[in-house]
Amino acid sequence: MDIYTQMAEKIIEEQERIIGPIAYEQAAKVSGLVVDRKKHAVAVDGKDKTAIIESLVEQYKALFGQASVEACKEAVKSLLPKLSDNQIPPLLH
Amino acid sequence: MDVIDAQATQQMPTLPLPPTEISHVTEELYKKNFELAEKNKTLLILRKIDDIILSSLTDVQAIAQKVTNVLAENEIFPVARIYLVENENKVIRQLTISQTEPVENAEKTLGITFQKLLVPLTDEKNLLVQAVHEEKRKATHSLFDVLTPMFSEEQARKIQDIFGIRSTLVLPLIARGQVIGILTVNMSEDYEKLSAYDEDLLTRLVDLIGIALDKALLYKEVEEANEKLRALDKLKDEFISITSHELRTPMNTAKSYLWMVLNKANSLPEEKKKVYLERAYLSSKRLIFLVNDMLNISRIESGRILLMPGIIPYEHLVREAENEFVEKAKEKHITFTVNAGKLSDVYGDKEKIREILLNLFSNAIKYTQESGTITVTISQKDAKWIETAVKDNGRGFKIEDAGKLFTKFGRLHNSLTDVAEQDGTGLGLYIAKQFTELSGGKIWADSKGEGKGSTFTFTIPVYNGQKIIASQESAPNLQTTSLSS
Repeated sequence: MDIYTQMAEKIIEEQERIIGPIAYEQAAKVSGLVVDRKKHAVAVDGKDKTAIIESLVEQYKALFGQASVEACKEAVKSLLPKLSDNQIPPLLH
Repeated sequence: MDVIDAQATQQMPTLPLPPTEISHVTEELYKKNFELAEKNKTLLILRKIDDIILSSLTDVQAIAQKVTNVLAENEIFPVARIYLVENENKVIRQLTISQTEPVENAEKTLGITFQKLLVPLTDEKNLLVQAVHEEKRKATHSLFDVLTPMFSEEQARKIQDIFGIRSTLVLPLIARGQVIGILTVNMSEDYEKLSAYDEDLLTRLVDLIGIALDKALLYKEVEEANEKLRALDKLKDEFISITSHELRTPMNTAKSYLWMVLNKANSLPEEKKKVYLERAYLSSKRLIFLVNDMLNISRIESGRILLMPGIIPYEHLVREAENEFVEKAKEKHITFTVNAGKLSDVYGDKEKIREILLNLFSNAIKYTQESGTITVTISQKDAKWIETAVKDNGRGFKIEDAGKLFTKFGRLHNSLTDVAEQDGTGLGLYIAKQFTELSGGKIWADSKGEGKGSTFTFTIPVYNGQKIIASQESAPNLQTTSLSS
């Protein structure tokens, strides 16, 4: 599983822990993310994967503010060291 | 405006909140949800630990392993370990480490193992030891502080890199007022950045894990005590069985011979009567010996043994004891020799030392075959001790069985019935050991193997002109009063 898919999974799982099933509903609205709500499976499908993850974080930020961005950062903190600076979505810096 | 209009105005819906207000409310609700989610996470982990405590698991190792694995499931603490404090061995022993990928990677990459790590309780450089002694939490950014001296600083640095950790917390596990173990958790962040929820989790965890470990250790103690009690109970039953047989046999023998003399007096020749009376007499004597042995054991074990120390010309005492066995040795054609050089007098209770000699001589004769040899060598090794070695070329024993010989009813062969057949109580060597130690000496046994004879040796203190001798470390002072705790 590539690192961006792992990031997307961790972010959505963390959001689900806080806000419940609507985490998947909101993730499904992000272009480039393929979400299977029943199987809790996620795939990042697009050229610019960094941008897709950025959009996912923005989706939650739009609804729930900066607190949700912090939750996303917490969710992926173990994965960020594996990426170079320009691979990390700006909101997660 | 009429009343109906006024009422209608009151029931009109309020205007919708402005978007900024909605965002603010939503964000605040989100934060509350986040808090609840964190508390829920803590409760989930604590619930899992609770389940482990309440389970039927009693093995310390198994419990500790489950707990460290539960901790590692929570990504905040990618590596966790539990240690046990062993005060009697003066070490801190690692019980378990979480079975996770970073640990396996480190072991594979560096060719090391994290199993069975030991830290001496004297090594104050190690944070674990400091946590035990101070009963306080410790923290460090360097893994070396908890891995010394098992790993070098360079190894610890490499391990830290592979684990991907930035800090380590060391938490003493306290139960019943003392530190029984240590929990260490490695973190991928600085310990200063620990969230309030994780702090709360750690505080509760430490209490729970302490309870879990304490329960397992207590269970182990109780099991061991039960095992000892079961063994003692078995020994007691065997002892009663053998002793009643031993008591009955000489009594029956005496009774039979006396019955013959009493009821067949007219038909028995005088010599025969004399033989029967002698045998009845010997049986009574044997009965008395047995009862004396049992009484001695009872006195020794209740600390009521009375010592009457004095100055003893030792060679003379040994020759006296030798005389008691001359006839018996002749019966088996055993060559019984006593070799003694120039000896100082010894200091001790004459009767107790005689008893030691009688037991060792009796043992040697019992376990030496016809035409065998027994050599008693007495030597003065130094100014403090006289050593007596009773060597035979009889049955011998396996050297790993030596320790059993001096225990109560400690037998090398299958059961105490073997003792009964050998005409003994199984208590002689135990009594010899107790009397030797009460006199301040030591006793031990050697053999080159079964069928290759044995040597029983004991030491007693030399009389040095003073009434009380400070001899060996464990030696009690000899006094003319009963010894009691």
